[in-house]
Amino acid sequence: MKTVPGDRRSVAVAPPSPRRVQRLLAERPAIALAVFLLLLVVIASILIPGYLSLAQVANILRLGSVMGLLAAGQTVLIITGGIDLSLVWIAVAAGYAVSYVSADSSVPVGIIAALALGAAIGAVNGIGVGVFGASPLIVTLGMAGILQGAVVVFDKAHLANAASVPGSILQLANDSIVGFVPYSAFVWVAVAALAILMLQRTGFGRLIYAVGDNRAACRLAGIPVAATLVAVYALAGLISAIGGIVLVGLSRYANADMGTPFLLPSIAAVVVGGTSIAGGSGGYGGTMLGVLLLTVLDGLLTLLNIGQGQAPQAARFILYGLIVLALAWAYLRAAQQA
Amino acid sequence: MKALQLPVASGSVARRRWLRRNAWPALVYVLLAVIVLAQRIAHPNYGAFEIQSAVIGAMPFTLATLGQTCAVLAGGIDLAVGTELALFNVIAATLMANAGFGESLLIGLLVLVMGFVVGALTGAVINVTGVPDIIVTLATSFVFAGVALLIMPIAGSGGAPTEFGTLFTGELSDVWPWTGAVGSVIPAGLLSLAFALLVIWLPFRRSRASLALYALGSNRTAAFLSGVSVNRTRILAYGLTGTFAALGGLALTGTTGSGDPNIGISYTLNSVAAVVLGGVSLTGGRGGMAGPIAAAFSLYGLLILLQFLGISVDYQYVVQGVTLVIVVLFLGRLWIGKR
Repeated sequence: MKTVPGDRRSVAVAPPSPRRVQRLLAERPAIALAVFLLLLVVIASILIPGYLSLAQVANILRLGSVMGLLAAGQTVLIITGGIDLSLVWIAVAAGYAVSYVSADSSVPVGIIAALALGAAIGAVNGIGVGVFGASPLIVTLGMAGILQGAVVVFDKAHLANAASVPGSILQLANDSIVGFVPYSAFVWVAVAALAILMLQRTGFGRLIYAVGDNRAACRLAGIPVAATLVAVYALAGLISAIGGIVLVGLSRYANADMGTPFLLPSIAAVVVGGTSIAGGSGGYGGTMLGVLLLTVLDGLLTLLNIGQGQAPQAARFILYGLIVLALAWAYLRAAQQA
Repeated sequence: MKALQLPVASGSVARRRWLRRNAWPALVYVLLAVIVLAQRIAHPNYGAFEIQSAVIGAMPFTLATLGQTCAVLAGGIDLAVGTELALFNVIAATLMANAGFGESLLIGLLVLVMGFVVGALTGAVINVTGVPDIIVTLATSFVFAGVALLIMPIAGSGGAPTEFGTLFTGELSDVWPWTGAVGSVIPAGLLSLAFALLVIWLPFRRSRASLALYALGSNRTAAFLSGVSVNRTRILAYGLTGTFAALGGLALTGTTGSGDPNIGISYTLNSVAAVVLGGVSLTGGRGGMAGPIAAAFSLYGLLILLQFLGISVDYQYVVQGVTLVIVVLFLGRLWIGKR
């Protein structure tokens, strides 16, 4: 990170008293987040009698799986120093693909079509960023516009003969085994395990951190940066397409608005999870905790039902913003102390 | 003591530099002209009414773009500019609901000051925390959206006096009768753009502070070493962003006569698009206001053209997205490559 003397970014701020908390946050952000999450659950169960029910856990996991899958690709991209504002729209498009192709042929073909679509759109983003060297913010913003438009147009064209979501996908997103583990949670855990393994244990994972840390150095070291970026964006598109398949099952029919509630939270979860927007650091484990934190908070605010009408929604927005800001600040300070 | 002799640029060098700086904005104006021409051809009875509705529709978006330009020039980005606009739209519509015309003008002034303060606070938060602009403004965009919803839970409430609306939806002659026949074909909405440029931007552009803002955007370290107060300049830049967003909120209040707390996000994303199309470098420090204004009108004009051509407005996102990607990937590369 570029630092300027006098800018507060680089000034070593005098440590406040709870220094051990800060060190914990710097070295093991996952533990600090987990404690925070636990506190939230304890507060919730005190405030709301009967909060800790199996139905509630199932609900959190159902929503968390979708947000977690959408945030997985985003985490990997942010580690490379990029961002993709079109991931949620890729998921929506994949949701459409799986329901319409499945209706025409079979569910496996539909799933393959959705995944291929997601990877292809992601690759286009990757070519814009990696090969053309354009700002990821702008390329993916444009892509989000294109996908949103395509989905809306497609929707209008198929108003009369809208395809229904296949039963197996409805089951995947909504049903649970042993009462509280939805099938989609298994998809999430499987993808998460693969993502963490990839980031921590493979050469490609090292490459992702290296490209995010110092792109110029990578180029000088002979790393094919452009090809790496195309691959990473395609991968993020693929993971988001998996998220889209679960998303369409959760919303029970393909519609243009189904992704909107996840648009900003899926990015916020990455930041809350401790991945730096500057790239080169972070990981998916933190993001998963971030996802659970935001989902629990969301459910809590819904159940508390503060005020009338739109007040709970307003409170949710404000708290979201404050939490994202506070945690981003805390991570930065902890990193400076370390 | 002899004054320091600066190397004087020869005529051709100066001309080339001028061209380099202004070629892109000039191209955007050509694009705008082409779009307007195409509108004329596509619409059989193109006239004052069509121009008027284009200005009415484009003005809040254009003002949001001006705000985004300030943040981007200073090397930042404001992902909250749209929700900020919505927040001030809601505040203005709430305060003006039962106000007279004179009161509404005072309220407008108050809203502009609030816009500056809220924007400056954003800058101050970035300074104090050191968190990247994009994350801070992502967070504040949530906060502003929440506050807007708290103030106005139901979209379409509030109001504004008719005369205040005329400032944005009437003709120039409705506001200033002495402009007569000429004024009767000029949309009054352009007054808010003129106010933004002549009263806020140009005086600022002539001050030392604007030099600091450009310096901060092009190289923060160099700016600091040259004695620019990084923190103060950033606060000022975001303050201006907030002021323009507030003006956009007032324009929206004037044109719709009500408030809408949910309108923000599309303004934010489109303003970033217009800033880039307008030739402002996303890395900061390069560009001006002329390009983004033409770009905002072009992007909005494209939508109107689609309507005239009988193409469903549902295609608007596709067209805007494709335009943005083509511009950034191909033209932008050519242009930046030449600098």
